[in-house]
Amino acid sequence: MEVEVKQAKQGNTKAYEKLIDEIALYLYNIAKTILKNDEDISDAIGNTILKAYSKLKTLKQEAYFKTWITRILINECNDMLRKKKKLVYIEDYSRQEGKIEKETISKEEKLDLMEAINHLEEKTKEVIILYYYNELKMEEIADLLNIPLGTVKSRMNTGRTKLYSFLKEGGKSNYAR
Amino acid sequence: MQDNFEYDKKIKSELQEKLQLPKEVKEKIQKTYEELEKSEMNKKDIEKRSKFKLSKILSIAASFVLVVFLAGNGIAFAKGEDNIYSWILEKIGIQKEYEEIKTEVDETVESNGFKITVLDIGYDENMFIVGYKIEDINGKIKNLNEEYKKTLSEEEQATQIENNTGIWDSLFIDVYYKFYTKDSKEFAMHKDEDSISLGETDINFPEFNIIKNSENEYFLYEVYDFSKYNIIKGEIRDIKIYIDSIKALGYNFSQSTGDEDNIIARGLWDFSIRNIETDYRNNKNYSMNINKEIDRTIRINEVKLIDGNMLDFIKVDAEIIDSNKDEYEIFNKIAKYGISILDSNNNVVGEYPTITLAGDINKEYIRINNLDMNEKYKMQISIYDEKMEDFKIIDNIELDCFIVDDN
Repeated sequence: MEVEVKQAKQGNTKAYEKLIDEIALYLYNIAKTILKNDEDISDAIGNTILKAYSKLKTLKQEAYFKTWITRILINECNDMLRKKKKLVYIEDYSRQEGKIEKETISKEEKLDLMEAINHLEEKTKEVIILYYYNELKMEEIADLLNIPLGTVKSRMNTGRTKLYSFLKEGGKSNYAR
Repeated sequence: MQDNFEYDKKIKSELQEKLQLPKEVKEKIQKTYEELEKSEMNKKDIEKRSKFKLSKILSIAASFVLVVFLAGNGIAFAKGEDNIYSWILEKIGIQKEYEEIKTEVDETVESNGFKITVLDIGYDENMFIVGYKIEDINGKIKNLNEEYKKTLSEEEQATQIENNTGIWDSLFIDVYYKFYTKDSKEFAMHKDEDSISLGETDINFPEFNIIKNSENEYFLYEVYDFSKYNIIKGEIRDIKIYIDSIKALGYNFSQSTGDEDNIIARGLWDFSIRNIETDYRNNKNYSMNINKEIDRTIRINEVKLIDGNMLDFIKVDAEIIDSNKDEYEIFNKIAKYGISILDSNNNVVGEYPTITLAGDINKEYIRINNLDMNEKYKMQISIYDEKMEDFKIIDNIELDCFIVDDN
């Protein structure tokens, strides 16, 4: 990664794109914890990509690229959140609706592990992804989501219990939320 | 327990294998790449076009330095000639262009036995030029140069001239420029740094000096490559020039030693060159200045109110006070702060709830609607406490608001 950062600093856009491709999903997961809506997330990621590229020369230690761009993304997301406060409320409402809809999925439905993760309650799923995919510590998740560590632990526990139980039953099985 | 460990591994690998970016986000990223590539190409294109011009200037300038040296103290222009600056610029082939863009300034400050006059300033899409006259009242530079010359044999002096590497009787001033654009952006340029910032863009630039020595008077022109800034002519509203010190390269034998060795004068020479563009003569500038160290974590060096409705926080430096914390902790806790602006009734009139210093991003804007210059505003600062458990208010700073420029 450090080599690509150095190349990108010299104006190599392809190297920069490679860097972003490698962490795009990671960034998406982070942005989703703040913005929720994919359209806003896309804009925030787009702005972050441009902003980080233009400021890349100010990054003194290449090894910190991922943390550095994550901070830019979080700032960007928070900015958008402030600007679109009303919109977020509306989306929270529709998320609530979505949640109800999801819960009505048949309990007899056959699922694989990924689907089981997708069927977790949104807040639980968020924590599970940040922990397993983004490899953040629970303390870091608490910081990022601005929630107490205890809440993170409890959500982790809920998610894990469901997923463990799902796996105990041999993967493909009935899955109830 | 072992099972759980295996399950954890399974969940992790499942997510890493199957979790995908939504199509919409993927498309946006692709579009952003296209935008990025396009802008990079444009930048390179502009650079290419301006490079020809600048390389031409540079090559002429290089030989010009040689001419100056050979001519010694008796440069070949008629004494008392009205426009000796033009003569210098003509020699490097940009006099005509500079005449068209320059604005006469003629402001002088004096300190430490040196008198510095900003003669004129000019910029267009390709270059930014500032002309200075430096008067060495006590002949300090001359003495230093003489001392240096004595130590070199004729042969060595000749080598220096041929290689044109040792412009050893050159004079440099340590300058810091601040530009204010019409849309209230501010950017700064420092000669000692290899990059400058305009909004979100950092750009490297070449620069060179043209010096003419006549007795104890020096005429110095600083020419900067402005092409990479994408500055549109007329975009800059004000320019401020800060001169920190004067350096004479070569008075010390080792030219590669630190700057401190070559400083012959240090002072605070603060020029305020305003209204470079007459279109903006009627604009009002406001300023708030504050110097306050907050805890050991954040130092806000300057707070500036510009254009009547925007607070411009600049030079906010984060000091890491606990290096044992891991990188994430540093970014998330120590380097995080919040700023609110309160009116005299303690109503929040503007805020930036949490600001994180990502890398060197250290400039934030806070908008205040219906700013009242008669109001006593306060700036409230929040940071994490020492235990880094709580984000809380640490200080309220009274802002002394005053008008600095009201043409």
